[in-house]
This record gives sequence, structure tokens and C-alpha cells, in this order.
Amino acid sequence: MHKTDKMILFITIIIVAFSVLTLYSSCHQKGEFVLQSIFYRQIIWIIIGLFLSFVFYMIDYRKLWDFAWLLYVFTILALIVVLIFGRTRLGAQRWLELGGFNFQPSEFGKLAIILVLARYFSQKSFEELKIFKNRFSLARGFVFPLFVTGVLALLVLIQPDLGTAIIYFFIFMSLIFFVGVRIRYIIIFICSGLIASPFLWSLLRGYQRDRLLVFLNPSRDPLGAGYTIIQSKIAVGSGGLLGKGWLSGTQNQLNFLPERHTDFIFSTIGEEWGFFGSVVLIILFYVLVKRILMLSSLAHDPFAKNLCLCIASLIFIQSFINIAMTIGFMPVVGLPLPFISYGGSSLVSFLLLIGIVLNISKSL
Amino acid sequence: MRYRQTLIVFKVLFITLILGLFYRQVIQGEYFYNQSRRNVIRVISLEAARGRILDRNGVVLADTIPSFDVSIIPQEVRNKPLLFERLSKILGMPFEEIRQIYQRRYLNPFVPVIISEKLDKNEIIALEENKLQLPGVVVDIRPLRFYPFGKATSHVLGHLGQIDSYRITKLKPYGYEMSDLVGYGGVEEYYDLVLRGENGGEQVEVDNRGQRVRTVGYKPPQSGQDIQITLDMRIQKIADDVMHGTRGAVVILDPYSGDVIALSSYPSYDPNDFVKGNDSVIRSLLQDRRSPLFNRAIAGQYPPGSVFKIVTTTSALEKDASLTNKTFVCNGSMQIGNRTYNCSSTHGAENLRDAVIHSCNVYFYSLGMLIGPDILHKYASVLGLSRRTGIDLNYEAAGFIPSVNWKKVIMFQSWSKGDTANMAIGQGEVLVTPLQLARMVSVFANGGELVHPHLIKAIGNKNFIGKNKSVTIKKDVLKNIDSYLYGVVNNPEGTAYTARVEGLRIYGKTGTAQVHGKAAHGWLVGYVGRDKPKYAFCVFLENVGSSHVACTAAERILEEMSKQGLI
Repeated sequence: MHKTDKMILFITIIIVAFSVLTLYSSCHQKGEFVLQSIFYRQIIWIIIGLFLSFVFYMIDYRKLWDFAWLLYVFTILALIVVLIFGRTRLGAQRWLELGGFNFQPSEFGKLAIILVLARYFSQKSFEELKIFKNRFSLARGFVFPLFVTGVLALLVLIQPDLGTAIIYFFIFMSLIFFVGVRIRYIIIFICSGLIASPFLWSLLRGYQRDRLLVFLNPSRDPLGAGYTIIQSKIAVGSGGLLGKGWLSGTQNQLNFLPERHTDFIFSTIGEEWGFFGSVVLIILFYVLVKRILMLSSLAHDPFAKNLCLCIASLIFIQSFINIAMTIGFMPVVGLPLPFISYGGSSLVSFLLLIGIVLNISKSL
Repeated sequence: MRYRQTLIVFKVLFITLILGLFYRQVIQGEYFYNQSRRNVIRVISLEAARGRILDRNGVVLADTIPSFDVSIIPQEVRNKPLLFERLSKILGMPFEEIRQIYQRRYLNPFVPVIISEKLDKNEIIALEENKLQLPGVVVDIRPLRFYPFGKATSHVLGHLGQIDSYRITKLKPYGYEMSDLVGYGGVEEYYDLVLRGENGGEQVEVDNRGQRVRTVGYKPPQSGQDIQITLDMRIQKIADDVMHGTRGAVVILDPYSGDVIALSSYPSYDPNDFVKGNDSVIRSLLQDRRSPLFNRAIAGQYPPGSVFKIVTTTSALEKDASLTNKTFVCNGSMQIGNRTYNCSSTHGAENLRDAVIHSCNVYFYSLGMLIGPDILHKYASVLGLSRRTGIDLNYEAAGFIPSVNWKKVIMFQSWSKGDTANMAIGQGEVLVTPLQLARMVSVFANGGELVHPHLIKAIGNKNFIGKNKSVTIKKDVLKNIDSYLYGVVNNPEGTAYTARVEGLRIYGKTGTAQVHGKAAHGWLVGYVGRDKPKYAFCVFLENVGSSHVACTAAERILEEMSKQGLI
């Protein structure tokens, strides 16, 4: 217990507390607590998440090695089930209903990808892998893990959930960068992605194309696809240096912001807490990510190293993309803000990952 | 393992993000703050009640009465077609019409959309009874202008109407807005700023669907002030009854103060038609050849005919008091230059007094030529002709008095003796308004004061008194003319003998003004009282052929006033 990284625990709790405050405000409208059920449900999710986090904190992370492929196969099955039986919400088939709670297998897909890739790249010792790489590097060091990631990403993409698919690929990329796969492969991968983008464009759904076009020019369709991003920019921008104060954001309280408790929750933060509040939150995320990376460097076990790296980059990239899209610097892809957005699956999986990280820190 | 590189990438990207936030929130912050305010604040204007207009005794001449409108508050309606259906049954309007009106007038969810205006009592009752089946339907009370005396007061009061583009450009600096109602003509226009009050407004905060959340600011509408005018509605009514069906004007003044007691112009119109927006009636008024919208009493310019002999007489006596005894012989006509100038009759030898009483043209041709046009022009001016009286009504005309210089400089003609002769009997280029003549004759009634005719008596608690100006006419000249004017009405040979009324001392001068190609206008201008003059009056009738008709009309007015004890 004494070795547990209390800093990570502390920051996580602060961010979760911040989430509770923000969500409380988001669930108010015109001074009335109108979305009470959403708020209380999230409190329940937090409790569940903290409990699971504690469970994973108690389980030795090495045991996860054994379950990695099992979880991967399970996730694939769950994603197929979702495609067949899942509940459609907001135009996407992402949810499975289990005992009154809806959950998204794609969120747990992140966990599966992390475990599988972390295990795969720690099978051999680092030196061995390097030799490996020089001989059949492309196939075993790049193509196979890309395939593993691609299968899951494709299933998620069909739902359609572009954001999560991007996250999967990003986890893959940050890990191969981290373990030392040649930069040239990464560059080739990015370039081939760019070359393939016209073909990908034709694969995109209508609304996804709209979002991209709207990102380039929000006034294209100010009341349709562009509405959310325009209102979100107004919300964040109008917060100014110090914000309008908790429960006082007009954009938020008067219902101008759609999805203000889920993907666009940062617009509430920006509006009510201003630039200072936003920067504090970003610094919290940065410190958390940095701390987990440090843990990665300290660990002796390659599996632990890879796990920590993947978790750190997941938290980083998801918070980065979410904030950037909320303030209009990236196209809208449906991604929740880690620990803060409403949504049980996302919150629980992030808390669970923190549990794993804490377990690793304990074992050092 | 690339720890440091990974961390650097993360750090750089996070710093970029913070810079992005700085740009959005600090650099663009004010812009977006204003955007967010514009998102949530709407302003609704609240109409101020217009001030009333009262006559000198407190009788209400223009009032604001409640008008009942039925409107729909969009944000409270769930099922629009059903509601339209029900409303269409109650109001007897076709479903399609209601739907179209609703679409045309819809502004935003919390501003009621007026479906039908000026409901009658049965409709209001039906709406109230079915209130529960009509969610979102409200019956609103709106102030509506009402003129209880209709036609009788239209030219004094004017009417209220939607502001037009000419007026909005003129009145914008005073806070008028495009949809405002403003006065057109009369007291309504002249005192519009006093009457209108100040519209209030409500600032409301709205949500994303434009629904009202709460009131942020409220400025109560400031009611307009009541105005009391000098009109005596009882007398106005009498004048109106007599004038009904004619073309002409009646002006009655208080000769001491300049208070306008009655001011009637016919044909007239009902100002309530304008308030109701009765389009077909308004169009026919605008197209009517008899110009019912034209205020003859202040804007009509007519030759005064023999009434102008008052000016000629004054000029003569001012020049030489001994002219009272001057005798000319009237042979029924007179040769001046190569033209023959006629008289109404053959009056024989007569002095000034008789000439006034007979209204002898030949006498005045001679007298005019004796004294010359310059002095005629001077005294016309002293008696207030050829310039506006300054009454508090818009569109007053100035009239015209010719002069030697005018003819030379403007017309490039030389002044002839015939011009002098014509001017002396109020023909030729001489033009006056009925109001000017009533004011002119007041000078003789009050003993030498040129009054400032006005309608305003009081605004709120503040009273107004007209300012008089002493004229440079000798007392005995005034006295002489006063006696001549008495003779015109009371001497059996007087031209206004038909106008006399039992128990009243009436003074007057008739005029039959020749108009080219049409029947002559009839005038009777004078003053009346029991012991001393109480009212100055001018009765004018267009194209009636003779002053006799004007005398009859004046007699009927004065008789009725006397009967009602108003003199």
C-alpha cells in the first residue's frame, strides 16, 4: 500500500469531483434541476467505477496477461451482438442493455486493445524484438498488431463510431512509437492513411461528411450540423478569462448547448469556469498523464511499461481531441471527455484503467 | 523506449490546446460574450396609452377605449390545426385564413400572434366560455383611439394612423419607430409628442427555443398627457349640424383671448374610420372630389369679397378721419379705364356708413382709388391678413394680399386703377382663410387687439393663455367701424339683416366673392354678444351664389346658441 502512487489517485479523485460539479450544473436548466435522473445515475456509475477500480487495484495486473486474448475475443463477440441486437441512439448502434443499464462494448474495446497490444509487444524481451524487427519487422512488428487493431476498429466503425475507431488506432500508433518500431513505418502508415482518405471519404456516412464540412465552415448549416459547434464555441468563448460562474452559464442553463452533459461537457466548463478553469483542468490531465508515463519508465516488466504507456496515451488523446473539437479546432467526432462526460461505460473503463495503473505502482 | 519523446509530444499538444483556449476565450472572449448575450436577450415593446383630448368644459373628444384582440401564444400551443379549427368556429373565420394570419404575424414563441382584432361582445363571451379547450389563446386588451363625436371634430382633432415614410424620417430623432401610430392633422398631429407618451419595454431572457425564461429588465410605459383644448363642444356641435351637407367652414373665436371655440370644415369625415383601418372608406375619402380631408377653415384660401371692405374702411379712416362724411354717388356701375365695374344695385348718393351697410361696390371703388393700394396693403397686414395666424394646427395657409411692388417684380405688370378698385372690394388676387377673417373681426370686437388664435388650453395642469398684440388703429376708427358693422345686421337696408337674432347684438359684414366660372362664395364675418361682444365668427360657404346663404347659416347657428344659453 505504501508504494501506491497517491498522486495518481489524488488527481483522479479531483477530476471526478470536478465532473460531479460540472454535471450538476449541466443538469440544471433555468435554475431548475431538470435532469436529476442523469445526475444521480452518474453518481451510481461513479460508485460502480470506484468499486471496479478497487477490484482491479487488488488483482495483480500480471493476471491480466492471461485474460488479454480472452477479453479481445469477448469484445469482438459483444460488438457483433451490438450490431445485431444493439439499441440505436442518436443514429448509432452502440449500446447493449444489461439489467437496466446500457453499456457500450466499444468502450471496453479500448481495454481489450490495450491489453492485447501490451501483451503482444512484451512477449519477447525488448532486445529480442529488436532483432526480430530487423528480420521480419514489418510483418510481426507492424502488420499483425495493425490487423488486431483493425478488426476491432472496423466493427466499431460500422456502428458507426468514428471517434472510438480513431482512438484504437491512436493507441496502436503510440505503442509502436513507444516500443521503438521504426519511425519510417509510422510515417508510411500515416501517409497511406492520407492517400486512402479519398476512399475513406466515400465510406463515411452522410452526417460524418457533414461534420467534416461543417468543421471547415461552420456557417454552412448554422441550424443543422453546424449548430452544435457554433453554440459550443460561443459557450466556451463567452466564458472569457474567469468564466460566468458555476450554474450561471447562459448557453448551458438556457439549453442552447446540445449534448452539454456528454461529449460537449467541456463547453459548460469553459463557459462557467473560464480560461483559468479550463487551464487548471488541462494541467490536471497533463500531470496525470505524465505521472502514468513516469510509472511506465520505472516499471521493470515490459507488460507493465506498455500498459502504462497505452493508458497514458488513451487519456491524453481522448481529452485532447474532445477539448479541441469542443472549441472548434477539430472536426466533431463523438468522443467523451475522460472521467468527466456523462456516460457509465466511459467512466467505468477509465476508472478501471486507473485501478490497473495503481496496482502496477504498488508492485514496483 | 521513447519516454522523453512521448512526453514531449504530449506536452507540446497540450500547450497548443491551451493556446487555442487562450485564443477562443481571451482574445475572442468579448466577441463570443456578446454572441451569447444576443442569444438570450429579446426586447418586447409595451405600448403607452395615448393622452385624451378634452374640450374646454372637460367633455372627452378623443379617448382611448379598450379594444379586445384574440391572440395565440405560440409556445403554449401543442396542437395547432385543432386550435385553428376551434377558433375558426367561434370567430366565424375560415380555417385557412387563420392559418395564414398566424404564419404571417408569427414573430417568436412568446410574443402573442394577433388573430383577430376588435372583437365584439359575443365573440369575447364565446372565447371565455371555451377557454379550457383553447390552450394558448388569450383575449388581450389594447388601447384603441376613439372619437365620440366623429365627423364633428375631425378637422380639429385629426386622426391617428400608422406612421408613414415621410413622417418616420422627420420624427425618428424623437424616438418614433416604424410601427408607431401618429397623429395625422389637427391636434393629434400638432401635439403628438405630448399625447403619445413613451412606450415601455420588457427585456426577457429566452432559451434555445426562444421561450421566455424570465424578465431581465422592465421599463413601464409612460402614458401620454391629457390635453384640454379651447373648443366648446356644444357650440362645435351646433356649427356642425348647420354645416352638414354643405361645403364651407365656420370659425368661432373668443375675440379677447383668441380661444378657438368652434372650428368646422365641411365636407368632413369620420376619424374612427382611420383608426379602424377601414380601407374602402379611406380610399373613397381620398378620391372624393369635394376633398373631405381638406381643412377649409385654416388651409382654404378664398377671395374675401366685400368682407374686405372692412380693411378698405379702416385704411380710409386711418388716413383721414373726415372721410366718414365723404359722399359718392352710385349709379349701379362705374367706368374705370376701359372696363365697366358693376355694383349689386343702384344706391345713389351715400356716405361711408351707408356704403358699408349697403356693401356698395361703386363707393368702395372710388374710396379705394382715393386712398391708393399701398395703404390698403398696409392695413390688411395690420389686421393680420397675408400671413399665418400661428394657430396650433399644421398646414395653415397664409392667404395673399397683392401689392404694387409684387405686381411689378413678380408679375412684370404695372398696377392699374382697376387693380385698386378690385382690391378695395376684396376681389382680384386677394385671398384669405376663414380663420384669418374671424381673427380680423375680433380686432373690432375687443377694441384693438390682434389675437393669436389657439386651440390649446391646458396640458396636464399647465394652462396656456394666448398672447395678443395691439394694433395701430385709432380708437374712434374702431368705434366707427363697430357701429357700421352693427348697421349691416340691424339696419333694414343692411346686407346681413336676415342674420339678426332676437336678444343678441350682432355685428357683421357680408361678402359675395366672385369666382371665375363658378357660383360666388358666401361670407358672413362678425361678432356677437348680449351686452358686449362675446364671440367672433366667420361663416363661409363655397359656391352658394350669394352671401345671403351664409347669413342664413349664421343666423341658425347664433339662434341655436342663444336658445341653449351659450351666448
